[in-house]
Parts: sequence; C-alpha cells; structure tokens
Amino acid sequence: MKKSHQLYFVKQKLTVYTFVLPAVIFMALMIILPIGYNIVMSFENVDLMNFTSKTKNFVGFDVYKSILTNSVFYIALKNTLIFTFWCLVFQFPLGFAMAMFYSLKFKMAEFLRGITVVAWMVPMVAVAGVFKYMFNGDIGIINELLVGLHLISKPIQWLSNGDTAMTSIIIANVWKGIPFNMILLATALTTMPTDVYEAASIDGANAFQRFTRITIPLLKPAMISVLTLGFIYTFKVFDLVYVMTGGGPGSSTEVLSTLAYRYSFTEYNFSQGAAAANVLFVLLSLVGLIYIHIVRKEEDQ
Amino acid sequence: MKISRSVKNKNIRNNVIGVIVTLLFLFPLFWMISTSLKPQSEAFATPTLFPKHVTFSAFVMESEKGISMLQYLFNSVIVSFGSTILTIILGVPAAYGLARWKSKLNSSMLLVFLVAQMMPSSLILTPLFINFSKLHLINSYLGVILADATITIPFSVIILRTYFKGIPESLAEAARMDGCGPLRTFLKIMIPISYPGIIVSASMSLFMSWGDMVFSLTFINKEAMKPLSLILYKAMGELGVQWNVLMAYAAVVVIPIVIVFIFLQKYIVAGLTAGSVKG
Repeated sequence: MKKSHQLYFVKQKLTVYTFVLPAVIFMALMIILPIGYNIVMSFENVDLMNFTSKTKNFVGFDVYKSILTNSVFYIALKNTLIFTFWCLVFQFPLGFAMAMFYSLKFKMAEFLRGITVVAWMVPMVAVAGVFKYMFNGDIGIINELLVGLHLISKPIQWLSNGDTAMTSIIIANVWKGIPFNMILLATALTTMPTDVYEAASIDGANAFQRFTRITIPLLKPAMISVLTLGFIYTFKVFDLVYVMTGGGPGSSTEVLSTLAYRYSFTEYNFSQGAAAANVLFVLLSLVGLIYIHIVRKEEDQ
Repeated sequence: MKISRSVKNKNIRNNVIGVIVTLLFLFPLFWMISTSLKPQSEAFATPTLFPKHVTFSAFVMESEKGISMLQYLFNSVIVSFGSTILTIILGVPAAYGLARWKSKLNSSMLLVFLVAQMMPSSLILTPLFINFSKLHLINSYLGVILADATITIPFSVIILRTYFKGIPESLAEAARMDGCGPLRTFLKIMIPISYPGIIVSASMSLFMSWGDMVFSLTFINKEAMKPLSLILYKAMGELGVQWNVLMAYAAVVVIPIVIVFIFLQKYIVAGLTAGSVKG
C-alpha cells in the first residue's frame, strides 16, 4: 500500500515535469537562447554583411562605447523616462478615480466599467493609427475642436512639431492605460472590508479622511502592483511611437526600443541594435525585480 | 422618505455622469468607425460627427499592390489562431504543472515566464531575425506564430497558474483515491472545471497576436503574407491622406476584438485581474 503510494507520487512528479517542460523548452529556445545570443552579439561586430557567415570579430566593449558616446542614446533615454513618467502620472490617478467612481454601485456602473475596458483590448497599432488621425495638423478633430472653442487661434501641427509630438503620444498611451489601471484597482476595491468604512463613518470620519486613512493604506499592495506593471508596459513602448512618429521629428520622440530597432533594421548594424536592447532590458529589470518580488511574496502567503 | 429620494437622485446623477464619461472616453473608437463609413471627399473635408453619406467603399478597396483586404484578413487569422493553439497546447499543461507542484525547480521555471512577460520584444528581435534567416523562417507564417507565442505563452501561463491554484487540492486528491492518474485527472477534471480561465488566456492570446505589428514588420516582407495590423501601419505611409480607408483598416483590426470581448467580458475581466495582480 505504502509502496504504491510512493510510486504514485514519483509518477505524479514526473508527469508534472512533462507538463511543464515543453513550454520551458520553447521558452529556452525562443527567449533565453536569443537573449544569450544578444549578449554575445553586442561584443562582436555583426552587420548585414557578415551575419550569416561565421567570421565575426570580438570587439570588446567597442559597441557599447559607440552607442553610449552617441548623444542620441541619451536623448532616447531621456524621452523614454519622460514618456513613462507622464503616462503614469496621468493614467494612474485617472484610472483610480474611475475605479472609485464605478465602485459607487449605481445601476449602470458595472456595464459602463466593462465597456471602458474595451479600450485596453484595442491593439497598439490601431490606437496609434486613430490618434495619428485625430492629431493630424490639417484635418484632425482635435485641432478642429480646439479652434472651434477658441482655445487656439490656428491649427497646431501636433506630430510634426518636436514639442507637441511627445505630448500627443503620451495622450494616446494614457487613453489605453486608463482602463488597465481602472480595472486592476477596481478589483482591489471590491475586496475592501465595508465594516471598516461604516465604523469610521460612525466615528465621524469624513469621505476624504476615509479615503486617505483607509482606502489608500489598504490598497497599497494593489497600487504598487499596478504602478510596477504600468511602468514595465510603458517603458518598453514600441508600436505606438513607431507608428505615430517613427521617433521623429528629428529625435524628439525617439525612445530606447525604437532606437534599438533603428540600429538593427534601418542601419542593419545588428551589434548596436543588440547592445541598445540590452541596455533597455537592464533598466527595465531594475523595476522588474520589484514585480518579481511582489509575485514571490504572494506565493509565500 | 427624503433620504430615499436623495439616494435616488444620486443614483440618477451617477448614471448620467457615467454615461457621459464613457461616451467621451470611447470617442476615438466612434470616430474611427464614423470616418471609415465616409466617402473620401467627406473624410478630407471639415469633419462631421456622423457620415452624411454612409458608404462601405473604404472597406472593399484593394491595396495598391492588388491584394484584397480578405487576403490580409486571412493572414491575420492564420497567424493569430496558430499562435493561440500553440499557446494553449504548451501553456495550459505548464500552468497546471506550476500550480500543482511546489519545488525549487518549478519556482525557477516560473521565473522564466515572469521575466519573459516583462521583456521588451526589441530584446529578441535581432537574434530571432538572424536565426530565422538561417532557418528560412523569414516570410513564413510559422516564424511570426513562434514569435507571437513568446508573448502569449508567458502571459497565459501566469494567468492560468493562478486559476489552477484556486482549485482545491482535495479535488485532485479525490480523483487519486478513485484511481485516476495525474494525466487523467488533468484531462478529465482540471481542464473541464478551469475552462473559464482557458477561455481568457485563449482570447487574450488571440487578441495579442491579432494585434501584433512588430514581429510581422520584422519577419514578413512579402506583401501577400502581411497581416492586417501591419497593413494598417504600412498604409499610413502609402495612402497618406485617405483617412477613410485607413480607419477602415483600423476598424477591421479592432471590431473582431470588440465583438469577442463583449461576449466574453465577464470571464476576461475576472481572469485578467486575478492573473495580473496576484501574478
């Protein structure tokens, strides 16, 4: 009896690994190996001429030196940080506000919250296309509206002007980011204990006090999760920028991912593309570690 | 009496505010559809909220390269269903294995999926391009399917793992008592009761690979094999100001997702939040 019991568990353990292994092998071949290759490449001189042959030269840190001494790298880094910062600054509070509003449990709340989430499902390339049209300097609805309301006297060339191009991209991304923030925070709100609120009201706490003293502290874990995930998704932005401005005009909206792409697939300097992508990944990992820490902590509970 | 009236008023006020906020928020999607139904002349003129003459001409236009929208649609379907099927075949058992078994090895395997989920696509684009060139996977559906799966598999595994963890151990235990092996337990018990989670990960995989642009941009340059999402981008450079046609492309990319989402909304919202907050 005991032996068959043990046998069962050994069998189960083997089965469990056969469940997991195919996916892990896939990930190893498609992600881990490529990341390793990326690191190797960034210390070599790989371009369109020699990428299929075996003759590549080890060049040490030359590739990193060349991208890190180019001012465009710092422009891209700065733009990535600006983009991420402003996106989070707007999408998080707006998403939070909507989550709070829809938690008021009025008749249509659930329905309206549901269809708002649709915006999050829209592919980035389509978001970029629609906002590119709306921000168009000649026939865009946004200029039409602002001129109509006499907020501006003449149309703004949103996307072909360095200062306003970044603003436009941020607005487009915030639009897609709001439902993401809203729905994650809304779920956390539904798990809040209502009796605490009632007790606080009886004790004379007003709505603002209840919000800052109860809601915020209780929501803190969810807020950190949402901000971390939001940072990761925003920091690696590619499609939106690539489609709306292509990094231009000039380098005014160039971000790290579009820069890496340009090195590899416009200039066909694969080593530089690999190196730039590696830098992006290292920066992202710093925040990613927080995310992994959160998941691991949940795991232990 | 007075209180109930004020509650009722508040309820009405909230409903009104909610509807207005939602309409304003979803305006970009309305605008996309409205423009796609306008004739060329109207899309180019001073914009009106609704088309004066509704026409579907923007939808039936062929690309300048003589390829119909149906071909692009077909390409999108092949690629997105391909990577979704691959994701389900590899992802569902993996998520189950990771949820059922706690060990050092499993926890490092979970780490692989977590890292993959936050990894930027640009990180693997260059090495994949070089490897795919050597393996003749450039200009093949398979190349894009495999690349899309690097995003959809980690996503699905993380969501489904949470789902499987929510299933009480006692259920598997009972199956074992009845002489059910691990594989049979998985196929006959776990899959049927976790179908809402599987629906979520399948539909999200479908949405993600349907909307992918960067992989097809990098791995496909044969016109007849490009998916709609890529055509939408390419058309913006080529068609210039034909915004009604561009918005028609955008609408064909977006509308299938919206329809599927509306039907499965309850599952998707619940599944996503469980997966992303709790990891």
